[in-house]
Amino acid sequence: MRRKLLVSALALILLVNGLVLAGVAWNRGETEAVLRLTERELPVAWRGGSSSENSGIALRLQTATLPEYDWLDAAKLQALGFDPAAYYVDAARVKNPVARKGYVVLEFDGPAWQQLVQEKERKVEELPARIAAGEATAKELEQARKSLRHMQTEASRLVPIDAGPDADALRGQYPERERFLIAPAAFDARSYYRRKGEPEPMRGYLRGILVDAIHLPVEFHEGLASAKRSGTHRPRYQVAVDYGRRLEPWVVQLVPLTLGLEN
Amino acid sequence: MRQQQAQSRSDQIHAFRAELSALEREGVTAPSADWRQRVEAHHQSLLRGLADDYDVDVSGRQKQLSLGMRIASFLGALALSAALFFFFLRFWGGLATPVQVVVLIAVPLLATMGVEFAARRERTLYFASLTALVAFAAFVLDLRMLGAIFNITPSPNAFLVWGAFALLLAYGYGLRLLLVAGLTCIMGWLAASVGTWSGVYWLSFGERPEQLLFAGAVAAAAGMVSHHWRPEFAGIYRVYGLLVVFIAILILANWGAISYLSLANETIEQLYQTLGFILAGLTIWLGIRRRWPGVVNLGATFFVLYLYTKLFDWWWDWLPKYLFFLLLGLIAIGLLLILRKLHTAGGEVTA
Repeated sequence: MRRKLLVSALALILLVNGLVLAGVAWNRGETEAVLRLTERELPVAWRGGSSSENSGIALRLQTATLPEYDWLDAAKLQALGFDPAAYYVDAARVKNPVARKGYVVLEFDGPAWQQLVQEKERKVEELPARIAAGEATAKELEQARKSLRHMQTEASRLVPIDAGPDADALRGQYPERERFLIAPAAFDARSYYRRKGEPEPMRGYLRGILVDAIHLPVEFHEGLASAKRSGTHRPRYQVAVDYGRRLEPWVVQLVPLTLGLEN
Repeated sequence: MRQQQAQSRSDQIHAFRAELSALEREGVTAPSADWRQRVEAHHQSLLRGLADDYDVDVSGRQKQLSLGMRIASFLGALALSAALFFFFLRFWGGLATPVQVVVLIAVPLLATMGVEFAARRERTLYFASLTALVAFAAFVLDLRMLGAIFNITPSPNAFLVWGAFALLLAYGYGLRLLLVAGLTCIMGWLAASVGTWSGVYWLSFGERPEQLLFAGAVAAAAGMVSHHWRPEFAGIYRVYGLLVVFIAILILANWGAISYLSLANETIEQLYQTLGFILAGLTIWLGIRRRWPGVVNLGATFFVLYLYTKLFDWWWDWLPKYLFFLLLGLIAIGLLLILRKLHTAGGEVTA
């Protein structure tokens, strides 16, 4: 019996590794999306302490920060499986919703990004008048300009624009594979209720993309090091990332950027 | 005969010798020199055989050393697993992907073969246990790093595979630590999977403790059925499973908002408080009835814990602190008296 169990344990290791590798091959057999991102969207991930202890490098998929997920309305939240009625019955029956899995659509450098920049520009433009009216300070204006500059030159242009429980249906709605990325993600919702008043509508948000750290194989390390050495301004490199059948990414190419090429 | 049964026979012989000496001192019996010699010779030969075949502890000193070796083996396994993890982390970035994959697959395979190698050379299995834990850690590292290298979406199924691997080694070699590791993974997988049935993201399984309640109940139930192959494992299933159930109830009894039940939060908390008391009582009863001391102790511990949290809710704010603690102390004495009565009534049952 001991021998049988030992052989089973060895077979399990081989079988599971075989299945994992077969799954990887199947994922990479067909590209679902092809994106050309830069350091703005894919900065080097923090390696948890000293880099000498971890020689691996991953790039972190960074999305633009949204002030509100307005598009994640009640209908979309319900489609993702959130049931507002179950979370707030009355002040005594308030539940914390639990994160649910779905798919997020990320638009790269499109109208959603332009709109975010324009909103920021408008806020900066309004500030001098507000300072004159005593509603804001010069320091706030300075900070807002700095923030706008950062947004225009360094921040991620990948904007979450839609979500749903079915990746294929979303791809049907957003067919441009170079502009729209569909990725598995976890969503969360909160109902900001008041004990003595009516509950506010439930608000949803993107909790995280399930694969947000993309491994950088050793053949691209030199390119990254060279980009870091020569580049003085971000973004210092461009990365070609493909997404496969299982919506799992891999790095295809990493090219150092010269200043001004990408912006 | 297994190693544990051999050890128990050796302990039985020592107990017999001690009791016989006591009976002689008290003048109850005086066996003849011939009888004594025959029994002594039989026991000596038996102990020699047990020591040779099963490497059992034949003296109290050896037993103490065994405990020390068990602790050293566990700590050694932890340290070696950490060394393996950090060694791979330090150098993996410089390796080409195929080399990374080969190393990740080869290490758990070699470590697993190392378990058999160690078991053949040392019957007490301290080194086999250490190697098995390292093999388990290597397999965890294998799948974890393959996930990182190929950017694979995290899945709870990895816990099922790790659990199955740990259980295969645990049953193959009778390793309790591996059984605990395996049960932890299987219960984690069960709890996460139950949530995904209703669309909940699997990593959020801790946010609805009822999922843990289910996983713990399954493990505890598995400990109630007979274990022909490894009877010594049944107790671990029972105690570990019930521990998870009791912890889940403790959380829900104090935080109704995270329950699946669509009742008023206060009602949910009261419901779980009541369930906690009933279950702890039933656990003590079942433990006494089936002669499971571990289960009795666990039930008694959680009964007291539930009682103390309830008393804290009721009295902490309005009683002077000295009175609050005095009452806790008096209640503890009361419980002690009740348990002593049960102990006496049970005779050898709870011993």
